[in-house]
Amino acid sequence: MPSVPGFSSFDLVDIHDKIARDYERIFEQDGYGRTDARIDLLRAVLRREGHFTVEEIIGDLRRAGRPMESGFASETLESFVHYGLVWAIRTDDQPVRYEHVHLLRHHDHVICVRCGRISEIDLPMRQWPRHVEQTTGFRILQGQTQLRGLCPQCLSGRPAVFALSSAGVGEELHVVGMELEGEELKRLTGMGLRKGARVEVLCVNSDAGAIIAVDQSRIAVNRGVMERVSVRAGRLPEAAGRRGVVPLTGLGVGRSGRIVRVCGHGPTRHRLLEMGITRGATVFVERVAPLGDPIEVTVKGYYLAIRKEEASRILVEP
Amino acid sequence: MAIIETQPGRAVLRAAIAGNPNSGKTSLFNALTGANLKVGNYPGVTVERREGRVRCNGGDMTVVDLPGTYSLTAHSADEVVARTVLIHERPDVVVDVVDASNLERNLYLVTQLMEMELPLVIALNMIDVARRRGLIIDAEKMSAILGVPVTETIGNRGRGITDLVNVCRGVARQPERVTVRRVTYGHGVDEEVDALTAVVAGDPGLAARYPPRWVAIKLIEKDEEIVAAVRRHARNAGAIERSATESINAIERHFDELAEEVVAEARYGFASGVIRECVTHQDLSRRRMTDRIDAVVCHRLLGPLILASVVYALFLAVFKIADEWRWVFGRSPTGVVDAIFAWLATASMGIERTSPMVHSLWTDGIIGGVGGIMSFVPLIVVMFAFICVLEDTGYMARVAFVLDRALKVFGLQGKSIIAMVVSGGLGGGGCAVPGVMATRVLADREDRLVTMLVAPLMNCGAKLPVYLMLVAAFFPRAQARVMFLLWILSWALALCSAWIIRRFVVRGEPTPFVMELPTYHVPTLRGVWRHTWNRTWMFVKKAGTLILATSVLLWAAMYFPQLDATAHDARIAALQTGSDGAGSPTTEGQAATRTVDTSDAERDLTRKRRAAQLRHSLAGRAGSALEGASRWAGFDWRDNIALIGGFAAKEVVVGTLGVAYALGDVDPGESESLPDRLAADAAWSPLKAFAMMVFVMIYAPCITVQIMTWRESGHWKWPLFSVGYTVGLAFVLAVAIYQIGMAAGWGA
Repeated sequence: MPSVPGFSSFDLVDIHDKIARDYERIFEQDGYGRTDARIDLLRAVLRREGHFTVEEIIGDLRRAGRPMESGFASETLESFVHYGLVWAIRTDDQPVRYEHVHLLRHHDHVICVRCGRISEIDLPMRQWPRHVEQTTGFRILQGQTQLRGLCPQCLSGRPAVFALSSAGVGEELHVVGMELEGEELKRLTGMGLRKGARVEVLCVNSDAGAIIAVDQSRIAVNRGVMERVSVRAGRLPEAAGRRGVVPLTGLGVGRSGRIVRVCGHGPTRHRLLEMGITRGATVFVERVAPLGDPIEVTVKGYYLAIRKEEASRILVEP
Repeated sequence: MAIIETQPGRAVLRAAIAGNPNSGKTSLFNALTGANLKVGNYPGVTVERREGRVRCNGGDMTVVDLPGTYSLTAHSADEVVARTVLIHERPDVVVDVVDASNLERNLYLVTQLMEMELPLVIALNMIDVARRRGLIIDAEKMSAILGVPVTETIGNRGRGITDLVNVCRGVARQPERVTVRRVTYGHGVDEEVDALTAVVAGDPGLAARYPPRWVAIKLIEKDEEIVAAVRRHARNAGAIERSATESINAIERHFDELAEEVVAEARYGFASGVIRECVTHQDLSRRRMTDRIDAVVCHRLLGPLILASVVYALFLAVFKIADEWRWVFGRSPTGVVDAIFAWLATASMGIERTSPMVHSLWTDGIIGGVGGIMSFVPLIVVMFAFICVLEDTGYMARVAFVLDRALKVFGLQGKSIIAMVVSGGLGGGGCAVPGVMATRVLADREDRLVTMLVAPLMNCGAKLPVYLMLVAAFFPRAQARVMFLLWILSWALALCSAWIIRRFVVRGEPTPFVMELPTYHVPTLRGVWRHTWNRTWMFVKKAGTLILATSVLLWAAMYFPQLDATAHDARIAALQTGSDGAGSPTTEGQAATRTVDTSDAERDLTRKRRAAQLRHSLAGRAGSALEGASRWAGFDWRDNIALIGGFAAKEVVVGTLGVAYALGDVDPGESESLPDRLAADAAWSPLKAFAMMVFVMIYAPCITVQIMTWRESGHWKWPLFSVGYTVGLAFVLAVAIYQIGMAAGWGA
């Protein structure tokens, strides 16, 4: 899956807090008890990159001073799978391994049948066997790939614009219209569900509703809402482009641009904001240091030296 | 940090000066306080608390110079310090020094000070620069919009100071006359701020301590310190935190952006609104001169070349002006100081007969120790003056710009260069004490620690005496070249150590490098003089206190315990049979025969007695004990004594060598100078001198630096680590140089 222009991987790490808040709301809505403990587990999951077992994540929690019994942890992790928050990798004789789902970043796995070690693969399928051998050092003996999708019958029975309720899990969509009103409209708009928004269905709760990802947040919507939100498959053409947005490093000496977005998180981002690197401000690239890094830019009428590493997080429109 | 007690009805008003770095804050502070600087601390990079007094009719005013900051979040040590003073000391008036030529960014801090509801006065500084750049600023209108008095100043020329003082006094006496306007953040934020303010204001534990609206804003910004303060002081912390979370969620949902960013952007929105109202551009061409200079100074090829030439020119100039050109009463400035102390030594000859101990303390301990240091004051003055010029012109920021890439490789960043340069990175004359303090400009803890641990490897002003003395004695025809070699070596070692420490000891992500490149300024003589004088004075004070104390202590360690006659004779006998040559090897067998009536033998006897005495003393025993190891580097017990003394302060090394070798002489008043004495000594060779210089360069930062490292890093293990690794490295390198040199036959 190609990454969306305008969103670097920094954002994905950046939104842990946001995900935790999203799910706190969802858990409360769905009437789960012990929300705090579930959020603790969720945060531990988000902090982990790569695969982990129930025992490993309990270990993480214990070290963080929040011990948790394994029954509750397993149950909660399974509910996370259900919510589309984590993937479960199940092998015959190994404990279940989990991994948190990065929105918009899909990948596949190769699993050793003896030790259960897992490597990630990120490549078009038909080039797999040879490439997997080269990149992972495995010798591929047999394979089984399961793909999910929509069959021609289902697709043909669906118009170009359809209700969100008839979308399949994993489908990427954009919102065309919303027949909602009052508080409900306000609430959903507040959470980012609006005309033109990019939406991905993460899981469907039978008849009750679904959890969908809107931009970078996840929200729960009930069946009634889903019926009244009309969507179209694929990304919105102009949104896909965000034409001409480049990182500041790609601007070139002697050219200026308007800041569209500052990616990243924490102190770095804060520092940039303090120094006047804010959305809408105009930057001009003055020069590059003799050794190729940092670069000097003008912003808000003064001169700033900034490393390329940080400059690449600043997206500008030339 | 000292906190001034608040007393109702006190006569002395208290002002605090805040402002962005490069806003001319320090020069304005200097212009305000004049010579009445109460606590002189290390300027240039304003990192420590500096307090001055303004004397004027109608009551004095104390002024605290806050560290220069761009913001008042809790992200860096500087900002926390500034905030603590503003909140807890509650000054009667806060002057925000604003760079008029760079108004928009400077207004960001203004909005934050306004949020704190402080009795604020804005000094529109460098108004001349702004005018030259075609900016016309309507100060009255600005004052009306912000609800804060605005006065125009030109800090480095001392203009507008009287006005500023008067306005400050007015505000301090009648704070109710200033009604600071509320900063508005726009729809969607203002409502949340108001709602949260009401909740905070309803909590008696919190409202008494902080302005409620400010707390509300800081909570929305997720300021860790304030969240902690709420937990500590609020009666109902849970409810406040819940409402804060609600507000944050509401804002984030509304703007689809993190709340703290929404607030930051809103502040800039406010700032640009003020600019639109109050500033008219006549001419949009910006700092043409700076652009032209930068085009050369930051040029791909010319930039590094110019940097190298500047450093080398600095060397030559410093040595020529302070040490070579005889332009003061027919001597060089260093020569003048030397002459003064030589005169002091001869003038006190009379005491020797009546009280030999006092005489020894005076000539060997005090004059030998302190006098040796004082002769380097001229050198240090010139060096400081040059560094000040580099800092004040704005070239130092370009040094960081040009070098950042190279330093990044070693896990440091461009701004580390400031600490390194202050520590002596431009080739000596710095001091690692302000250097360690200057690491505060680095926001990241890991970067700070690494810089702090390697900055003392730079050739500070205290190591210069050792180098100069040894270079004069052993490399008379290659002085500049050897010094340059030592400079290169110190950088190579510091960078490699940084890399290793970063790799294995202090791990962590490198932090963002975002640095302002200020407009070039022609430095004023006054500014350079003040900075130079302050720094030199700190050095002299250190010499007068710490080094004096260590010199006396060391003298005592070398003077006591005294030999009695029998032990003495036994010692002489031991010396005659001993294999190591502490005494002169020429006249053995005659030492015990006191009746030989030739002056040569007499002198020789006395010399041996003194040598024996020194060896018998505490220091001598320690030095001898270490000889087993130090012999590998070619150091004998006398050198060891000097090096042990250097643990306290490197300046002591020369003084102690002087004492150690002079004590072996009959008559300190008539003896030749230390370089000549060493050059004539058979145990010394250029090779040993070089090994010694390398050892001195690296080993153990002085006590003061260790204390600073402890304070700045927050843990005693870091100074210990610092001493441990430097002594180890110094020993290994010195041994390697000496042994390889000996094997190659350079030891002659």
